[in-house]
Amino acid sequence: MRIPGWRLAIATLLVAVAGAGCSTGGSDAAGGGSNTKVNATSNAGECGKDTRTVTHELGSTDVKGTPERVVALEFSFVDALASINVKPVGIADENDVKRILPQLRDQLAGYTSVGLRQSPNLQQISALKPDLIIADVRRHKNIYDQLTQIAPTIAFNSNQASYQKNLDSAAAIGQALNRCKAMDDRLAQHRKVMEELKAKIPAGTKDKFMFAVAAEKTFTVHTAAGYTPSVLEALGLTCVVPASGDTTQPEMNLESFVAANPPILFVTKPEGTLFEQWEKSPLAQQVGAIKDKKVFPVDVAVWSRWRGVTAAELIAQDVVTKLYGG
Amino acid sequence: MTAQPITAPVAAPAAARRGRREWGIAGAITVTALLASVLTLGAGARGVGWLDGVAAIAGRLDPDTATLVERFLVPRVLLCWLVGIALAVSGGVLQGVIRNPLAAPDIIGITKGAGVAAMAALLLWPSAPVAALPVAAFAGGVAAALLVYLFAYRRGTSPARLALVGIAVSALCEGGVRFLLVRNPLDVNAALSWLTGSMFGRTMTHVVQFAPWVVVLVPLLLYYARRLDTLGLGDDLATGLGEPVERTRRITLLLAVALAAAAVSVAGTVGFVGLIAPHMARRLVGGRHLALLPTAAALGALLLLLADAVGRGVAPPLEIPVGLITALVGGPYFLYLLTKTGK
Amino acid sequence: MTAATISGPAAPAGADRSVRSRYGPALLVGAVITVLLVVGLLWSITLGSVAISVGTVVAALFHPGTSMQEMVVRTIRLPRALLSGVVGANMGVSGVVMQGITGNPLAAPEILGVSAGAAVMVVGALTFVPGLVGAPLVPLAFIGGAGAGLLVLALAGAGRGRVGTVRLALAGFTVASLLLSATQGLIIFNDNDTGNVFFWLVGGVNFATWSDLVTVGPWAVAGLVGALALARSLDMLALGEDLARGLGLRVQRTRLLGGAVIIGLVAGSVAVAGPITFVGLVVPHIVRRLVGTAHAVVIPLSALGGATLLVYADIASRFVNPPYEVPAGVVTALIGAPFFVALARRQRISS
Repeated sequence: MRIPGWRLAIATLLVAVAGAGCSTGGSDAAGGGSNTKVNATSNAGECGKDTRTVTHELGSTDVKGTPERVVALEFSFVDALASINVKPVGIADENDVKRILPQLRDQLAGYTSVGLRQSPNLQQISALKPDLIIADVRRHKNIYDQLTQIAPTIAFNSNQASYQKNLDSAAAIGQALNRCKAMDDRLAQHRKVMEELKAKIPAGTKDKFMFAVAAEKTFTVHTAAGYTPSVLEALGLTCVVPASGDTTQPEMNLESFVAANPPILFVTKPEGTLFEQWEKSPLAQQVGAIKDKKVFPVDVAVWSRWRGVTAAELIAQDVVTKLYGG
Repeated sequence: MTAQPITAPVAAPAAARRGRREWGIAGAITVTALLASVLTLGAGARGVGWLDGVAAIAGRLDPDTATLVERFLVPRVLLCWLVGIALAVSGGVLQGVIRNPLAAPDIIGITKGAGVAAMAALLLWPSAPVAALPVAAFAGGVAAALLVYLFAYRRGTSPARLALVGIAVSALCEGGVRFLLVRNPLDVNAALSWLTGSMFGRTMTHVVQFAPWVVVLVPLLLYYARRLDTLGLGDDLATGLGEPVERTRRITLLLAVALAAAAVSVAGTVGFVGLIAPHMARRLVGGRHLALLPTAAALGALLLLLADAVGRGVAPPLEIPVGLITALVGGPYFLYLLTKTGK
Repeated sequence: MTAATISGPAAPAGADRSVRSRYGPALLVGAVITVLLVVGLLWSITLGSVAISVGTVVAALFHPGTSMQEMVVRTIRLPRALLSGVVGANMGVSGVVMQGITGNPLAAPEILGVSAGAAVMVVGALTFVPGLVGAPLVPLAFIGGAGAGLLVLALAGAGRGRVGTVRLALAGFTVASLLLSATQGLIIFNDNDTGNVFFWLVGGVNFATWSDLVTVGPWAVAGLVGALALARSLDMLALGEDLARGLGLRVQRTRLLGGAVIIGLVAGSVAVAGPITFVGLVVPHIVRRLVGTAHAVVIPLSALGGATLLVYADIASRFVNPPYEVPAGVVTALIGAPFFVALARRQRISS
């Protein structure tokens, strides 16, 4: 009686494991495509077609007609939409309208919040009856299947994408929206704005900078691979923190800050933070940016959170105004 | 010593009457849970009313709302049932085997073990297929529990040592989770939303994956209910009654661990359900496992249903993770319990 | 073994003799730990992102100069090395006292949910009072940590005498899980604003300054002196509550004083270094194993041992994710938890 019980237990356990294993195997679709590289130019031929195949980071998706009801699950995608005057019906804005870039708040007014970026409310999204959803690869990989059930969903890297990658996603979003022309025009205008701003910077500048987000207990630097530093590098400046490791936003302490020795420092929230304490230390006076009074407080929303053509232009303008008196 | 025998031998004459009362209570809770699943269906969803669950069942909903209910709400309700049952039954069995009323899947390392393995899959292997996460979590949960059993084994397992080693192994896993999170600060939020335990984004696929575990393992554990009663008498007495103590303990532990690990792998860290559901059940129907386990199962389902409904309904469009609510409710209840069992 | 010695009653005469005979080994052990500590401090000072030779380090220590290297040594590395030592010593001593007054070998700040309590208060403050920075966080962390610790002790029945090991561990584990859930919830609902707080929550000396040393110094000195003053009382308490009473010890008063010492030590440390775990659990056990149980010996050696452990943990933390910083608390947790497992396994528990 007892030994059969033991065997029965093992046997049924194995059956259950096998059963679960089988059913797990099928739901692999979303993750598989994550290595697919986005290449905006490969999509170019799709422009103007009624059904366009948009290649994105989680595969490729057919988008029909001209999407009017778009849900954006990261701020950089909201920027791409706003830049061609498409008002998203839903935004994952952390349920806080203040998270929207102040410069765009009026233009975007009237959208519905779909909650947190990390866990947007799927019922809310569904109730908005969108015809296109734009998701972030890292945050939304796990719910990609559900999103595609609601509407065609394209996914790009938002948080860790460089400036160039961000522009590529904007172009792809233009195709998905069937507004290639508008997006191309906007991107051309953007390039022009950036060129004009760059022209105000002495050619061949050797200026080196660091961009960091200072908080109460931490000092987070953005490496050259991150969005904001790559915008500045596009202007001809050089980021003193090279890309390395698997993160674009590592923590630094005073010593590594001193070792990095940035001649120019852009920093968000410089009051009441760890950084404020550092500034008082005699050692910090050894750092070029502090010695030469080249520490520039910047707006966290523009410089760190938004990531898009609007933000890039504001950042570039900031740089020119602050460094070169433009 | 805190480990007290929690089951008393049942007096034969009163057994029949008591049996009827026990089943009555279990039935009443099940009915309440069924009612709750219908009534809470619409919580927090815009365009879905509190009674639309009933309308959906009656087929009187417009197609759009019906799709909404079918696609997002029904899987969640089903999963609440399955996860609640699994955690509660697993907790009830563990409390019986470890003979400590404070034992639970969380305490013998399953939850934290699953957590560290899931985090490793999520953070060290970002391109991993979505399906890898629950597999890793399950493996981690079972491995941690196995580790606890091995470490606690010294010529048999003392229940108290199991609990103690379980807490220590949990601490080890927690250290691992912190290490991973500190190395990958950008993914902290993705990681935490799994670690807190939530029904967010769960679909019918999850239900189908998880259902076999409950359907197979719960009846099997019920089959062992009588022997769990015998174990409750203490090792010496149980051995005297001809029960192979260590083997029964091993089998039931294995099944309970598998059940809880599967639940955690599908829902994340839903804490305290495995601890308080069996407890409430014990207060309602006493310590006889054949009555205790079904009652605990119904209570577990009810708890999760209510917690998930509150999580959806309190501040839409935000969703409060169900694990956070079970912790906030279960924690104080447990503390109350702890002072009651004091002395 | 160790567990049995401190929780089981021993004959008073035997205990006395063991105290005397243990002074020899204690001196040897003390000397070895001190050498390790000094080597560790020097090693710690030579490590960092600015390359500095050992010669420069020594020069900077003894002949104050104004070159960048010398300033790095004096304003960053020296306070960091010293702070890791002081905080480690605090944790070591608080572990001894806590184990002494509860009569429980597993009592330690991390088991009592102190770090979880401090964490939830800090994250809550940062969430609900966005402008709040710097100094006010210190008393908050203190209140949270002390509150959680006292709650766990009360729940485990510390007011009613000796605390059962399993009971204490279960109470601590549960309170910590509850607080951890709350902390995680706060972080989830404040994406990006508090995410980096997680870095601080682990505990470390990455951002040490001289003013941190000034903050923690008085607590450390007062705590160590207080603990040493209690040494004899703790020895008596180890004989069992009844026997201790018979010997004329005011048990409840000893417990209260011990509690005050612990809170001062832990709070001072949490305030400057965040919640660093497992030093207080690990060190007293190792020390007792080496030199016996007399508190007059165990307390100073645990201070030295705790200092040494945290100094080396801080060194190791710099190799985890170079060139970036990882808090030392990650290292102590990974070293300490297996030790906790071993300790739990060794408990003699009658069930």
